[in-house]
Amino acid sequence: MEEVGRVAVVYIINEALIYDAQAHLLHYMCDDKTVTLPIPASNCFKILLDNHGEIISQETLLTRVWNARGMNVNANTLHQNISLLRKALSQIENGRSVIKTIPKRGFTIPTDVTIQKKIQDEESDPPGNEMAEVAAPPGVMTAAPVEKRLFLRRNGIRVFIAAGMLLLPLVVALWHIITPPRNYFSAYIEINDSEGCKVFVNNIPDDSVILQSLIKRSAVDCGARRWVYITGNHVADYPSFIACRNQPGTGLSPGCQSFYFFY
Amino acid sequence: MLNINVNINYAIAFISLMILMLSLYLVSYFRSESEAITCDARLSIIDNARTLNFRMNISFDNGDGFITLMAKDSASDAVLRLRKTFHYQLKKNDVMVLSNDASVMNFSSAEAFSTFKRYLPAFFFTTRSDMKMLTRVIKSSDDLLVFMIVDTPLFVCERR
Repeated sequence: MEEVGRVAVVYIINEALIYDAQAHLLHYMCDDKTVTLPIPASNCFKILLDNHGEIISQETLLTRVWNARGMNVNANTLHQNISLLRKALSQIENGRSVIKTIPKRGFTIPTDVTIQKKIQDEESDPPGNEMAEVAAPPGVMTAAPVEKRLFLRRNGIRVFIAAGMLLLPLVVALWHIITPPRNYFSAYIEINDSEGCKVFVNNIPDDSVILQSLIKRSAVDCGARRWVYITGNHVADYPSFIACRNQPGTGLSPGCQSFYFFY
Repeated sequence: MLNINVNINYAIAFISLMILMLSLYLVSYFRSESEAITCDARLSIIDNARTLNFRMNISFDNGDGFITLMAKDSASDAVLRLRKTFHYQLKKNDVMVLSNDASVMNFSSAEAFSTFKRYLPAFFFTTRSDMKMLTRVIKSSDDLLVFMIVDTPLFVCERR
């Protein structure tokens, strides 16, 4: 059986920077430093690299990087990611000019930027090595035992690979059974109680008075110890929160209700 | 010696086949279990002195689903009852694409209809078959689903 290893695509930019598209890593050759790019920024960079010299419109980047993953973001998010990329690239000479903005048209990597694309195939040891290893002590073994050992070893590897591939779905299924889902609200941080309500937020607000006024307007019965989860990064134009009778994920019926506020 | 090897190979093949069948069965069983969901959600929309209270029952089962929605407007006592069937597709990152199928609506008055229409997504009222709605559905615990838009929770739905 022929084993095909992982294929890694790397780009070498201006012979100073190595970009690993799969791992979203930038490696600076001058000081041997590596930084991890945010995935959207990395994906934008890959599209620009793959279309070296061409102008890629904002719409194309938004569609391919965000919309294709079910996310709907505005141009600001794209510009923030491009800005992050430029900051990361600025550490090499002329790095700031690697990504060029073409006003009202999009972004491009100019043709004067040198880019080398390399595909690295990380294959397992070739069979020749295996033979050399088995046949290493010359003259000690006869041809027959060497062949037998080689046959058993190859067979063993085949069985091992086959068993691994077959066991993988079983492990996945078992993992699915025994792993409880992660409580979505466990990432929220508790802030000061508001008249008995335990208030949790995903982002610490500058002014918690606004949150308290929202809870008051909703008529949530804080006297009955409600758990209130407020999300700060609203994509909607109006605030909202979720109030629960019991803490979600504890086994008790959560009894949650969502509240939206239209101004 | 050769016979022993052949027997071992047969045994390995047989055990592998058994493991594969068991794995496929477990994966398909738990996948179908996790997809057949019925849950209840409550939400309120507060617009100055007006509060609209919604109760929803949502069912998903292998690509088909329905929503039963009951809403009441505190300002006018107007009531909306809606039953909507839809098809859905699960995509990567917990994204769910809902496609319109059919709706049955009962509302107490034409005014009530326009009130509710102002606050709910067009998907609930449309008759167009090509209308779609995108949401993310995250299983937060065994009994709780979080319906989201991008990274903001819209409402939570408790499994029955």
